[in-house]
Amino acid sequence: MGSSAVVPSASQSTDARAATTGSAASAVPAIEVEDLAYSYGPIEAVRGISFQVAQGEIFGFLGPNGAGKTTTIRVLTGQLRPKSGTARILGREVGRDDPVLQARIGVCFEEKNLYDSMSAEENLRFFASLYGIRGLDAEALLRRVGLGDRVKERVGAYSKGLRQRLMIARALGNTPEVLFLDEPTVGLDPVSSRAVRSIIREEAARGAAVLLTTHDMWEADELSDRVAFINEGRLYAVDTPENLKLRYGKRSVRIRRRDGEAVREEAVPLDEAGAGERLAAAVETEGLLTIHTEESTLENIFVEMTGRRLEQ
Amino acid sequence: MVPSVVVKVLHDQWRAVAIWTVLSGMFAAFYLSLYPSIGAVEEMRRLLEAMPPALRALFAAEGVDIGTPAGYLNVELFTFVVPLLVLAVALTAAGAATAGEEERGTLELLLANPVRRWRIVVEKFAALAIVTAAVVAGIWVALALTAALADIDLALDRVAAALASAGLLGLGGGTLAMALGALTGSRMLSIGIALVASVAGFFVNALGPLVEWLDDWRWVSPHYHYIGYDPLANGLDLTHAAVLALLSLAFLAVAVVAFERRDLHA
Repeated sequence: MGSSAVVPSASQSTDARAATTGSAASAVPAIEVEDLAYSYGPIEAVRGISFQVAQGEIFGFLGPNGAGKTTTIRVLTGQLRPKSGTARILGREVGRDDPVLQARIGVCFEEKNLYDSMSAEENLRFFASLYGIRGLDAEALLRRVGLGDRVKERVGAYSKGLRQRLMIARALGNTPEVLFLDEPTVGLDPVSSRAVRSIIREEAARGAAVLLTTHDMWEADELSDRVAFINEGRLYAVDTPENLKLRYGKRSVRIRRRDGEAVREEAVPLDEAGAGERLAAAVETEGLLTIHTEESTLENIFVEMTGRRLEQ
Repeated sequence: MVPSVVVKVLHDQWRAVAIWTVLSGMFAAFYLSLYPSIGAVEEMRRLLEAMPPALRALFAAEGVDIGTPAGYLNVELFTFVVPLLVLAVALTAAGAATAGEEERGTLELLLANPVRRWRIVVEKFAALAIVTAAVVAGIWVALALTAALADIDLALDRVAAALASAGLLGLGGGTLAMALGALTGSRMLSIGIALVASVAGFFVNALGPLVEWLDDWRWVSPHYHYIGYDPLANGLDLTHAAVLALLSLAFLAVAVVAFERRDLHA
């Protein structure tokens, strides 16, 4: 970890959540993770992370490939046993093979490995049967994710985007109280991505906690009540996107002006000494074309904190 | 509780199992239909008797009379072909169980549902048993029809006994593959090791009477418990059948424990 890393304590996480979720914070947290660690042999995938997610909250879990996002989801959904630390979902300790807990959560993995030989409807009915759900309105569920006209089609013939939508429908089949979505919009066209984001908001609005992993910082900013930066298995920051930008971001004003035949551009950082005078001087310069204020993006902050770009 | 995983496995495999069952039945019917022109001929009996003992041991158990329908089936079908047909379908089905799902990536999704791991393994085993039973039942039907059409005097209850024994042999091999799949997560490795074990069992039983030190170990061969006592002539021996059934249950227990303990491949 670089010297600039900010590893939040559990209390920091709680404070941030309280700031954003109001009364929801008084309820039992939907997800509580304390000093959680997991390793694949000698490779430490998750190194003592702690955070909480409130009911009805959308929590963005951000990091590049191999950062530990998917491993964390696998531990929280009972696929892997933590090597150390604890995790609770809806107040119940996460253990492997816990049908009581699994009946209350929904999971959409990054790998879209559905049963190719079955239709979308058959896939949903099979999974519903494992939950003991009878009379599932599979068509309504498929309509909700935009697959209403492909109910009977074999999943083997689906494109990656269609499989993704079906995975989301599968995760919603039991009306989960906690929803784990691992890169839910990867491979989707912009219209489908927007539809998925709308579903995520609807699920949170009805009270489901949503843990969303993504390396799309714009999406995380758009959707998440709070975000966590994870890199190399460690959490670097947990807070609201707005607070992160205010705390760690650099504000600036970008000024474009004509200089003879050329157009020149200048950035004036607002957080540096003498920024006011520089800005006033720039505005008074002849040939002024445009003035734009610039906020730091989550991506800029992530790169500054971790020294690593998200697409890596 | 609805055995959803069993239904799902059968849904996935019914076409392949149906084709395999029909082909196995046709194969068995073809062999039996040749009995009047081959098995019942004295020269064939003399040919078998003239074979070197080691070679004959690979084709027929000691004391089998190829001149009878039961003896002919023993030599031509039940010593090698039937166990091969049954093991082929059982190993394929077993390989597609947990290891196959793990390799395809669907196991992660399956385990995210509220279903215990032991239940998944037990339901996969139940599906394996149904698939194996379907193939041996298909062979029995084909043999019964052929015997009726060709007017061959065949004790169908003894044939059923031998096929039940073959089914138990196949189930044992399949469950071994399931256990290996649960331990390793590798479909090919589990099928490969189970196949080698089955072939080794065949040779231990076949060559045991000819090799003194091997004869002491025939009892460890599942093949010995399958056909060593000639179920076509003597009917089903419950002790030998129980050994095969217990072998499957032991492998099932290993599969359950291994699957409960193992983290999936990343």
